Amino acid sequence: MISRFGLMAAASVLAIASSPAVAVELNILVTSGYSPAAGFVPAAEIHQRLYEEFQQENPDITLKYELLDPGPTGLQKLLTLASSNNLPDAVIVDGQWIARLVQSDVLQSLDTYWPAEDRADFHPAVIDAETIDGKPYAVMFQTGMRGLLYRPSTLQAIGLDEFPKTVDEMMAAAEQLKAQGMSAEMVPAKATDEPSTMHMLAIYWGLGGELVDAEGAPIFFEGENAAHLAQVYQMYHDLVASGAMLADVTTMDEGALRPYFYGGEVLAIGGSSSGVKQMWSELPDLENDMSVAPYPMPVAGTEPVTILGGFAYGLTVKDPERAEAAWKFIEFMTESENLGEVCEALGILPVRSSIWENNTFFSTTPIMQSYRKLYDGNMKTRPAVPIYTAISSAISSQLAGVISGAISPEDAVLAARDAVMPEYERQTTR
Amino acid sequence: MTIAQQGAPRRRPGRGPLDPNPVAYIFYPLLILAVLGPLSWALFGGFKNANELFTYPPTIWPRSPTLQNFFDLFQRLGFGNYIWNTVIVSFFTVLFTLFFGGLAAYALSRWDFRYKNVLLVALLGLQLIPSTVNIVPYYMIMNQLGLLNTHAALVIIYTATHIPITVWVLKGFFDTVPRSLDEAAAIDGCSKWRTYWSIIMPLSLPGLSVAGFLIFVSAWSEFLVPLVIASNKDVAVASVGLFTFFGPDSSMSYPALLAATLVTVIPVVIGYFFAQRYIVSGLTAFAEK
Amino acid sequence: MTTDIHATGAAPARRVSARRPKFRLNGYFFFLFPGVAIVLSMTLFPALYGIYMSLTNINLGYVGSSFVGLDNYVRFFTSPDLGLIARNTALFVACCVVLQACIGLAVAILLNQRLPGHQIMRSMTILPWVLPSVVVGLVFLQIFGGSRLGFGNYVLSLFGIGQQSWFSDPVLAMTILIAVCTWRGIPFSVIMFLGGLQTLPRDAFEAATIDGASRWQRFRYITLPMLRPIMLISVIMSTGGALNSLDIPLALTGGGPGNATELIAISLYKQSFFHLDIGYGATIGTIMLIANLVLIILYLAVLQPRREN
Repeated sequence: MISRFGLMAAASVLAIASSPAVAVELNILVTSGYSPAAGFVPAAEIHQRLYEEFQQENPDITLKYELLDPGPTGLQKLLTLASSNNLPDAVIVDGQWIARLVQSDVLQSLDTYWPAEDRADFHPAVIDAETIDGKPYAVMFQTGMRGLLYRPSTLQAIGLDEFPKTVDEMMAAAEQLKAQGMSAEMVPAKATDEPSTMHMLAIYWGLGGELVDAEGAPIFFEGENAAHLAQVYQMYHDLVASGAMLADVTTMDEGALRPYFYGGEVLAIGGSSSGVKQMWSELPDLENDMSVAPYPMPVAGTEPVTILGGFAYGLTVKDPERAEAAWKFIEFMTESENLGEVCEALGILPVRSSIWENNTFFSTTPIMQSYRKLYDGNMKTRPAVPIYTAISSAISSQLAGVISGAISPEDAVLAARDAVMPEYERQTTR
Repeated sequence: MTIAQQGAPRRRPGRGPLDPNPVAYIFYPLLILAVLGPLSWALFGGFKNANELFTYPPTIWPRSPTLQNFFDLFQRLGFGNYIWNTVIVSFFTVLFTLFFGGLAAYALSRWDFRYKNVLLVALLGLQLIPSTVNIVPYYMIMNQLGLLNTHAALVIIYTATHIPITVWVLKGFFDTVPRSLDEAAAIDGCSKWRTYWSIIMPLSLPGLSVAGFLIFVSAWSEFLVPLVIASNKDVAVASVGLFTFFGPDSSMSYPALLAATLVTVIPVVIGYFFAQRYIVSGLTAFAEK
Repeated sequence: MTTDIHATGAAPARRVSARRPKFRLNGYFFFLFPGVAIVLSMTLFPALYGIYMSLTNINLGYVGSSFVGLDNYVRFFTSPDLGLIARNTALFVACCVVLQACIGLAVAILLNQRLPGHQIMRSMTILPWVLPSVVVGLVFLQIFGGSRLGFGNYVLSLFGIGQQSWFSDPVLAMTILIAVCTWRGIPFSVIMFLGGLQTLPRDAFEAATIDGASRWQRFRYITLPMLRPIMLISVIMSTGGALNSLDIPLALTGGGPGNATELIAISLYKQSFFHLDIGYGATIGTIMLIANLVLIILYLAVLQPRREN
């Protein structure tokens, strides 16, 4: 009797104690892939579990999520919600949108919430990408990494211990591969296909090229930049002309390259880390015989810059109390162990060093260790300016002409400029 | 416009070809090869395992046929979800198209009013505005209605674009039901609405099912509209699933893709062989108009 | 939207309420209206809305838009790619239409020989037309895969011809594109022509045979002239089909290599949904709409006198 009484008393005390901090209903807007509604079952399961755990740990917060389109419609929706004062409390956004969203006052600074020691665990390029005017505005929680996927066994078969580091080495290897009826390398070069640009960009940046200036104006056709871009175009042309790469790449996206790789027709193909698990499922042998290498560079001594890009959690609410709750959620989802599980389940690459260290999958799987090397190298995000899509499309559209020899690399740079500048004009006069 | 009520077009007396020329047989194998040759690649590929699919020289007939790809497709890759989405969308499209198209066809069959023929022709003209032209407006309209990535958006658009041809086909059927039946019903005190549902509809059931079949097959195959309007994984229909998941971030493997192609095609082909005599004669009648 | 419908579509409805003393819900208007309203709202209205958008700079990357008059049209007609796109589209449409008409007629005559088995052959011939377009695209993409594992290259290797990079050669890519679209379009022409052939009066042929006309003469002087209206309709329809076809080209080449096989429809898709330039996409759509209207009017004009017979 007493115990029951005590329990009731305790309950009422608790009720009183928690009532001032009225339960917060936290509205979050997330992309379906990173939500309990994911079409990919393991992704749905892990998010469901984490959401439940979060609720248990924070009984005063009720989590309500809605889905945001990961494409341009999603960006539009956020901007529209902002202009009508209907923003949720937290969001998942494409890392490419951060600058746009900060400019439109959608994302709020995380400076006061995010402890410095936690930030230090993230890759510096990630922090760099989400920092504007010295303040972080989002927590990027994953990335895809592009590089050349190859079978170490094939490399050994031609007597190489190391993947070629320069184009010249690659061409030398290609001569040997030719004897076996193989080509050396294939990267997608389909026009207007973003991955085509991304493979190019890693090399272009590695050479020191820049796409836009600090104001966001296109400068890839000026001076040094033009020379570097021409150099990259020249490299594609030479690879194809020498037979190290098949001309077919001009019509292929990353998916189309895979049969060549599976069928043993090519040493290495350009691909994204997010396709690795799928490739394993298509050809189970690959699980023990696949690795990733950085792109061979046209200039010895340079290194490609891996493109960083992924989704990020952001805070959209201004009210301090709600922001506190929203940050709790973001912190929970990006906390090393939880995030490690998400990354592993989805086969996406983490951007926290501790995950690379502590998560068994990332610290022991051979191919993940080769990705670790890319992670430790240079990384960079694509410029978050509206003109970027036009630039990307323009430079990838020139690849077919350059490869077939219909246009010289220098003219291709100019042609890309001519395609971009009218669009830039339109954007700036808008 | 008396489409298909007797099935395949009968040979009308005094029409048609004179004497069949057996030389035609020479071309039969050529025709078979031209049509089935390309399809056989995907057909048999679905039954090969990954290792066979990626070894040289390629095989046409699977060496060790396996159903594994199909199990993978449904169990691991969740293709069943796309098929289910397609079934839902196609089903409701058929339902709404027949409902609204049937009502309109009845009106056009039973009442005479000015501009009736103009309306019929106008419907035909509207039907001919291609979805390629309207795809951008569709996107913006559905965006504004908040219906992007929903099945409802697809059903609305499909229904609208299938009603005109349905009206034409069903009007043809209704015209063959004698008007005296309506008059008798009216004397018995039936409203037009009742007459339609309890007399005309049951009598036109064969026609409705043919039209339903055609709409179903057509809705099943739609590609461009769902690609733009509902490309989200959770709501995607089979054709979009097939196309989109060729991409680098796809979760579908090559052997499974061929199997998926097969699974997507099967309902259409079965539907076709059921309804083909109507499709052919229906279109023939259409062409004769 | 409602005003739209009243203004353009339901003209008969208005007359009903104006002339008759009592509006009868049970009248034809009640049956007709919902269907016609749905059709108008998703065919005519989007077309008009597209025209409106083509006069603005609406872009998915921005909130809000403003009226820019004919800027988008000026941009289209002065675009450096216009020549290429126009050439490609004209070539593609012309080849598809001519091939479809010729092969379609030949196959129709073949199938019109009522030999045992012709019905099975007919079912089979029409099969490509009912296949989902994306399936057709993907199947041929596999066949013409540049890898030696591709069926096309394998067949070539049997004849001792070396590996081809099918889609990376602009001429080859366009050829395949035309061939595949024709492959899919032929059944439609066959159906039309078969229908036409069956309506030909037999006595004309009989009379001609008695007069000693050869098969070729009968074809040349009886079949062809009598098929003319059907042929006209078929050509108009397949012109529209080729002009508006986007699914197969998108799945096969996506306009590549580079933009060597870029068609106007592909350009519309890319501008709208890659570059998010909805206003410009709508402009291309409007230009295509005008081309389609010409075809639709032609079609109805050919159809009309025949209907009245």
